[in-house]
Amino acid sequence: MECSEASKYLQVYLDGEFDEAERRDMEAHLAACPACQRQAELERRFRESVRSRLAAPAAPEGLRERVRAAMAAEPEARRIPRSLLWGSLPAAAALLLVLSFTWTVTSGFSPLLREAVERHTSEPPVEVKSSDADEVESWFQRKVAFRVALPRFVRTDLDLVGARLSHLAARQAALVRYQHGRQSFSLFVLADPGPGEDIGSKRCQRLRKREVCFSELQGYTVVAWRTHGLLYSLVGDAPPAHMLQVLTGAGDE
Amino acid sequence: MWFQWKKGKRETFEEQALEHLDTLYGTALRLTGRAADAEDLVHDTYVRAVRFRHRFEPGTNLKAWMFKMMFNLFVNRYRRDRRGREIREGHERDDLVARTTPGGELASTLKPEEFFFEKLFSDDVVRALDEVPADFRMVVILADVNGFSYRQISEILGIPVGTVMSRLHRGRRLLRESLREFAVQEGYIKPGDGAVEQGEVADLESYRRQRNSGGSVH
Repeated sequence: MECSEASKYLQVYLDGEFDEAERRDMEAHLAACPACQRQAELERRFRESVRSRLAAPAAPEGLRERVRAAMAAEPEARRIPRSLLWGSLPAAAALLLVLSFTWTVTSGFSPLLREAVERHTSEPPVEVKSSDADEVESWFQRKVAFRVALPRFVRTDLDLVGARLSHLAARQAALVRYQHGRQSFSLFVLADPGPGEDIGSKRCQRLRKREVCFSELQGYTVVAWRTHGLLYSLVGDAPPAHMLQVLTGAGDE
Repeated sequence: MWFQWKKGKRETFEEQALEHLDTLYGTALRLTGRAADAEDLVHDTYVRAVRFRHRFEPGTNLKAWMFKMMFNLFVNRYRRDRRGREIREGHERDDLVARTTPGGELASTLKPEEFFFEKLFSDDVVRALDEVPADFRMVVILADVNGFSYRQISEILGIPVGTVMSRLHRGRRLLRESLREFAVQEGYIKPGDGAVEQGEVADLESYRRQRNSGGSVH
């Protein structure tokens, strides 16, 4: 190991992220090189002094009881009835659908969907933060030239996070962000450009009077559908079967 | 009968979660910088934890799970509005640091002014940490105060390990530069002393790839 390398990876070493062999290499270099040894010493002392000075006081008296009481008052888990928009599809049928789906990578991805994936992955910050669909819909009034109507997903643990203005294929679009555990989903809503706009017609499935089409790109799945003059595309880093669960609520406890 | 068992399970979860109260509160205090905000953040974290406790997999790290919940809340609630400004500040500060930092070889002997940070008080360090933009502060707190691994930080913040490493690198540099400014203000060191080396961000994956292929590593 040379000095430039030792210096570059010193933090990694001190963070305890090196494996056994890497650690041995670093230590052999440090033992032989006073300059690097010195840098390591400086670094160690810096960390220790920061750590000890940032040690925080214990939680104040009362917070523990406040937290305990709040937890006791909280119902077990939120449950939303399945009867909303997508949910009346019987769970068993939906589950069958999930099980019967098999997928291969879609070629010929439409530019609109490709752009949806790109915008989803760049994760732009939301402009309005809200978990309330009505509030988000009204935020878009006068900001876009169409009336944004959000689907009422039945998945109980799909949290609406917020929304922002966006564009897809040079058209104004509403970007709505949802969260499910670690996964985030972006829903794009725009005025339907018409049947000329391909939404991945190769893999489509009828679902509650709607035809929803699934496409996969770079590990992301896009589910797209059209209704009432609007085009929806939901992007997530989950396999299609999982995305279907999000739409139908199947697989919920 | 079954509901009693279920109730018991829930109480166990709550008790286990409460074991991390002090750590969570201390971290919340460093994150928000205000005791009232820290208390609210911790309170809401616990409410959310109970609400979504069915998502917690028993046997996995409850502390990391609670941290993830708290950092999510922090990002959504306290940070979002200031995000653009903070990130910009981060770049600007970085440029400033780069411009004012002399490069070159390390001197061969230890100089007392390089250990200026050991003269600083706790309050100075807390204030200096506040100066570090939230994206970087979060990673520094998780690594250097709480001792989480890169992998755990990556899971808590939902960002790749590579991003953890680069933010940690930059965050530590920014913190040290901010501490140096305090030390100059307090007269512990002269302007120009204890300058912060920028260094290069480590890329562990490419290091290992090259190591395994037997090539020289840079």
